[in-house]
Amino acid sequence: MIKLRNIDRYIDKRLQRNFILKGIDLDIAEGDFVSIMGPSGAGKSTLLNIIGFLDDANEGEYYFLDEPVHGLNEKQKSEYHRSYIGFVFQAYHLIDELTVYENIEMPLLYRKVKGSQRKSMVADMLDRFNIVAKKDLFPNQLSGGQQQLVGVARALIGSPKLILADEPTGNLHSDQSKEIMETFKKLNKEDGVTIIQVTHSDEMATYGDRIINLQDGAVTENNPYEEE
Amino acid sequence: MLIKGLIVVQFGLAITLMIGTYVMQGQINFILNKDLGFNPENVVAVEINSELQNALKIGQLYSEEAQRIPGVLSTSITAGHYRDYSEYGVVDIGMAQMKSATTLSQLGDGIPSEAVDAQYLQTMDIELLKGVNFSKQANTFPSDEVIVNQAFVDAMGWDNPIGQILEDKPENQGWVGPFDGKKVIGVIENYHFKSLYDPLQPMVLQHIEAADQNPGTILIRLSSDRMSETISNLKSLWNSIAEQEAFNLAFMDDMVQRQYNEEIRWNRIIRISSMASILLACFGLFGLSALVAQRRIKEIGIRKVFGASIKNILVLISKDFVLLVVCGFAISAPVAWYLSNQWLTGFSYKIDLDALPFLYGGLTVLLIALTTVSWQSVKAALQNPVENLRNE
Ligand SMILES: Nc1ncnc2c1ncn2[C@@H]1O[C@H](COP(=O)(O)OP(=O)(O)OP(=O)(O)O)[C@@H](O)[C@H]1O
Ligand SMILES: [Mg+2]
Repeated sequence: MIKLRNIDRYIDKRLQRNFILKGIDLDIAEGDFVSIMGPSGAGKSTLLNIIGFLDDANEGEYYFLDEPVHGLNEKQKSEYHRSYIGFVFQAYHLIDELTVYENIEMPLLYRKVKGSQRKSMVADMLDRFNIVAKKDLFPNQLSGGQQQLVGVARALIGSPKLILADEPTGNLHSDQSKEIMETFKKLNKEDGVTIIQVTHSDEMATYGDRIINLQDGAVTENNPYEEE
Repeated sequence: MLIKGLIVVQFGLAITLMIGTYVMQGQINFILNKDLGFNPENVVAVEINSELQNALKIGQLYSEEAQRIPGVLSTSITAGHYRDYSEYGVVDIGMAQMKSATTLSQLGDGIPSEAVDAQYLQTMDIELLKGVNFSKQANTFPSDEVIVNQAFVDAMGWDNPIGQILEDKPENQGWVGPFDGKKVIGVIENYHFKSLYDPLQPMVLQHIEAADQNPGTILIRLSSDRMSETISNLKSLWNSIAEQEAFNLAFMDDMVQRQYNEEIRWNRIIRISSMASILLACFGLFGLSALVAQRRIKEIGIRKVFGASIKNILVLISKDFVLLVVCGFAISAPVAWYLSNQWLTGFSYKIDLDALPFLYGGLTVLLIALTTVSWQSVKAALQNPVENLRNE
């Protein structure tokens, strides 16, 4: 599904070139559940953003579903964001002015989904995450765990093939974290959704099938568990 | 909220002025293009001093000689003064000021009358509806003939105007009106010898010799080509006939237009003020939209991540501002309607106030407002969402 070849991402500062990512080679198949780990500043978020078309590599090749990403224009990228990729963020990034219901519904507004169908899709999500009673509340009226559930529901509403989660449990207690991870695992196993998450926690990483270690912008350890 | 209210008021003002500009423009175009019943284009008026000895003889000589100049189509001697009293802002194109006392009860106290010669209708391009024009043989006409306009006929309620003899004689008052015993030989189309502020009135044409009046103006219709050459020839001719007298020439269409100088000036003032107020409102809008775009930058980033296109973002940001303009329109439309109507009542001839100036006014301002807002919203929409979603 995802094929990265010799990806460089750098920032030019005066005479110096600072590499955030250097020479990344990575293959992720459909149905994988991958955890990216590494110290702060290693370039994990940057890698995830490149995979999610939110950032562009300076060098190298990236194929998404065998399609060269560097050839995509803004509109096509939007199209992928609508139908293929769902994002979950550490800081939740819900829209403060919208209710839980409206936050979950939001991605559907950018796809051609009829009003009645939207309603039933959002209702399904609220049901699935047990937040029906909270649908008219605003994000700041929810706990962090609840907010992240809304964030996950929002990412899933478009039935994406790929979920990109940047430290989804970074701000949560362990109980809440486990709930989110169980959800991911279920999605991955039952619906075959590909999941790539960034995490600092070994415990959270083990929910995935595969761990990629990133250090100073390079992959140092790929699939340590499989190799054992 | 306060800022929004202020912007609504500013846009209300801008839209009101914009609508006013369109209404005025429409009325002025209407006036300037209205068929006046005569054709002022290519007609010049040469002033002749009525106090001059032999003014009529001099006028007739000049008129006759002028007709030989190539480019002169027709000339006519009239008693009226076609001149620009610019210090009063009044233009008198002909007989507007010349009233004759009359006792014809249907016509009120006095009616405008003009003394002209047989070429007047041709020179002014006024249509003769019935009967005949004055005779060209200057000395053979009977002196009791008059030509009246259609409004005169209507006021008198005549079915057969030709041959009617006017009885301008009050009972028991011991004086005789100037039109007593005059015979109607022709009826002409109504023409606007006054500005369009005034309704059409009944009027009478007499022959200048029969009326025993001094000439005030020689009207000359010119061919449109080589006009400046023709005019310089007219000037030389004038200098050779009346060498001590100044040559004063004015274009009739200029004079017609000058009647509405005030309106044209006001239209310009209103237009400039509407531009200024739009500019002012847009400054406010620009600031507010920058503020809003900044405040919603995170939301924009989130929406883009979930598939919002640039267009979606533009609509999102602009929607609220369109609403402000629509609110401004809602309060300004009735005000503009009232003011426009008020202004138009001053004219006897005016456009019907329809929805178009309102539509144009609203749309013009909306378009300018959208352009202003899009500056900020395009900037916001083009930003990389990653930048805006970085950990806060
Ligand atoms: N636009 C940018 N301009 C300059 N430096 C950047 C930019 N984006 C990322 N960096 C730098 O690149 C490095 C990697 O950033 P990144 O956010 O990918 O790290 P990370 O592995 O996600 O770290 P963390 O675990 O703290 O989230 C950091 O040193 C960061 O400061
Ligand atoms: Mg990070």
